[in-house]
Amino acid sequence: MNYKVDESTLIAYLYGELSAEEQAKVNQYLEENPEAQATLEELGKVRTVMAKLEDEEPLAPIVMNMHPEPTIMRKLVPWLSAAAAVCLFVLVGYATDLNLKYQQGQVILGFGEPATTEVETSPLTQEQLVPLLEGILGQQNAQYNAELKNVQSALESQIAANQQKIAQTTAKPAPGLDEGVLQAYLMRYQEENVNQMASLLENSTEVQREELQIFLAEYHQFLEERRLQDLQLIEAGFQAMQDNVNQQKSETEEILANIITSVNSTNY
Amino acid sequence: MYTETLLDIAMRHSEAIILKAQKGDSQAFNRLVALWYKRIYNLALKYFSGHDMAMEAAQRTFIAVHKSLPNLRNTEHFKSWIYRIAVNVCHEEERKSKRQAISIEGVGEKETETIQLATYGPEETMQHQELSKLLLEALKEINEEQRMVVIMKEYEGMKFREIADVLDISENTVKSRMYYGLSALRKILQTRNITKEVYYEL
Repeated sequence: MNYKVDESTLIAYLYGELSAEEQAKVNQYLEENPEAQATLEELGKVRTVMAKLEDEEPLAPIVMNMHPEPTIMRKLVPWLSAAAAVCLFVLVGYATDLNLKYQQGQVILGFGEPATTEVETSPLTQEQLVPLLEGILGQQNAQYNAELKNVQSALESQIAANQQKIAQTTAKPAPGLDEGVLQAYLMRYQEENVNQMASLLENSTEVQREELQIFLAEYHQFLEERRLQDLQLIEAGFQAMQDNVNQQKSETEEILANIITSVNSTNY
Repeated sequence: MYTETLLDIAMRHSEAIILKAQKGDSQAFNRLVALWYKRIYNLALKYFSGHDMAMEAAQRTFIAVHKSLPNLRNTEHFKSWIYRIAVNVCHEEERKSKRQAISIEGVGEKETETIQLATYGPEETMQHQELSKLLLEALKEINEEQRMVVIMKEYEGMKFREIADVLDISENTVKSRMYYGLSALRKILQTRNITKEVYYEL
């Protein structure tokens, strides 16, 4: 078979850019030519190694400033809008019979026909004002007094009723209960309470002690773990620091070597 | 190897945003930037092996995109169009940097490294960074044309046809550059003793 695969075909085969027919031909050729097969494998290895070179994230991309120069119309827009606002105000004012007046330091805005009756603005004299106020105050005082009297009488009647009830209850002793029996009953009740309280306290302190012990043990374990973690972190930090220093050192050495070779090459 | 992310899916369905941005909608344009910035930045990062130049190239790409977006006739071709701009910007930046007499590599790499620290443990980060650095250096060593094809194929997940469209060359040339690019990388990795086995150890 005289079919010979050239470099272009081989490289197209390597990247899978051949037609099925061509690919079949190359496959057959490679079977018959182990040298070509070896070359292809070598090139494949180069690709694998070169693929280790990854993309890098660039710094923030540039942002193009493409704002166009403002045209005459754009410059006029604020003025035109102000003019439009004034026109609108005038039009609306005309349609609603707007009345705008400046009178005695006040701006008066109104719609429709202007009010015909003028508000009397002359102030009252002191002589007129005093009897008027006295009359109003007198009326209010009388009203308050009447209300107070009502409340007072209602309270008095309620107090009297309550006192009567108290007198009735204290006068009657509880039937069938001797004072001595009551005392004994109370004492027994108190004693029971004290005993219960004591046992409760004893139990609870025991439980608390146990819980506290468990808690302390757990806390100790936690602290120990934390300490170990911290130590590991510190160790990792030191390791990273050392690596960085080594890297910087090698970089500096390299830069120095570059500078030296550059200086040497310029000297010769 | 390239795996599709949600961002990629969003990028494939960004026609409405492109159309709005074309009409001067700044918000739509900013969204377009947000969608594509990571891709363009990473393309440039792998091309230059340096964060500062990658940032510069990404910014310049988006300024150019902003300028020429209204002239893009068919929004379906946006992907190849934006990659074409990015590739041109990368080539220009490369030429500029070669003209500069003294360049101290690796000085401006601090920021990307600190970003990576967040995703790996200290030891893993260091190993990952070391490997990334070695792989970036290996990429930097291969021929510019091959490097761009390898990046677009391996890391941007583009089809050979799409790469040919972006670079305005034949599909066969793209495949050939890919073949020689990978072969060159193989030699570099071998001399530095970075094999698949080492990668697995890491």
